[in-house]
Amino acid sequence: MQTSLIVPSQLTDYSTKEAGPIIVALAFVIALGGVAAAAIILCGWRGAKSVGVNLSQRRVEIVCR
Amino acid sequence: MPLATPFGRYCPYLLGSDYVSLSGNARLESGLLRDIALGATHTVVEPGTHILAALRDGITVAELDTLAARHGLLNGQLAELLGFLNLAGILLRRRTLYRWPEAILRQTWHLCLNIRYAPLAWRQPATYTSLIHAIFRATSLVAIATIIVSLLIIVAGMPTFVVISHSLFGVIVFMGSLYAHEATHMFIIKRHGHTPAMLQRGLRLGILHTTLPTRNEVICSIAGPLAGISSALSVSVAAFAIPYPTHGLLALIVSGFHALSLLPWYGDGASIRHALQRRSTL
Repeated sequence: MQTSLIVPSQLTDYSTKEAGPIIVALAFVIALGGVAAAAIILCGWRGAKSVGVNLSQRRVEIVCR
Repeated sequence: MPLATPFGRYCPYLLGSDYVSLSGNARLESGLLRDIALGATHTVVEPGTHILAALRDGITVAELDTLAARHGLLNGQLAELLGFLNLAGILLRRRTLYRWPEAILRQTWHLCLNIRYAPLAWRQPATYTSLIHAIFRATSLVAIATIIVSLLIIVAGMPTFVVISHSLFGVIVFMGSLYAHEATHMFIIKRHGHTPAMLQRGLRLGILHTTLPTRNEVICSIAGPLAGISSALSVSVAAFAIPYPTHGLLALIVSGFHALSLLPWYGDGASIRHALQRRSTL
């Protein structure tokens, strides 16, 4: 059996106080980028006039120029 | 003792030519590894002391592999030890510039095979100045992603000035509120007589400290996100009042990021959960 070479102190938790917001922020920026990429794919280089989210119908509406 | 803790997953990617050593925060003394800044003492099991002694003096990874094999160690045991050192932020790695492309290519190839490595940790004494440096390091990927997405949005038809003003505003509010979040943790830990250290590993930014009593741990874990939420929220209220509604909405979203860190699965929420679990098992 493999044995551990180190027995960590019980008094220190090396994984605490991590700031989760950075990961969430990156996910948010990537999601925004996804919407922008979708607008370019659907509307071409002329781009979109507006992007709206219809929550009741669970749709994203991209209006092209 | 069997390998009960999965420290191996914190082992960073290392090339044979990489030069690794222990940081000045760690000291090896008669079978014990002392984390000087945090005042923690870890027990080293033979033949781990030989490996740590070599790391104290500095050694290349190829030489370290040979040394480990000479002492009959398995790769998993060495990875676990290096993973623990990286988790604690006391492993230093020096890589020559021309080796970086090889490392990036190999890591990308391994990622395609679903083999992942932890980023190398960066640790500094926790001061209000080192916090700024740590925030810039941790959020660099978010900043790059924001630039790329902003360019995409400009291409998608939004006016350039509007996109730039919103992106800059979002990044500034995010970094500012992150500073408030972490500085509050730091302030409370120092107030209770502990010496915190700043640890950044990839997108993760953390404050290391010795265990606080349950009540203080809970207060400290709640106060950080609250500071982040309130700072972003106050900017949001001000922006709505001007009125700059989309800027206000952005700041509101940023305050939501901080609120999410109170969820019990990671970050501050997990700290609260662990502290309460510790108390219930006493």
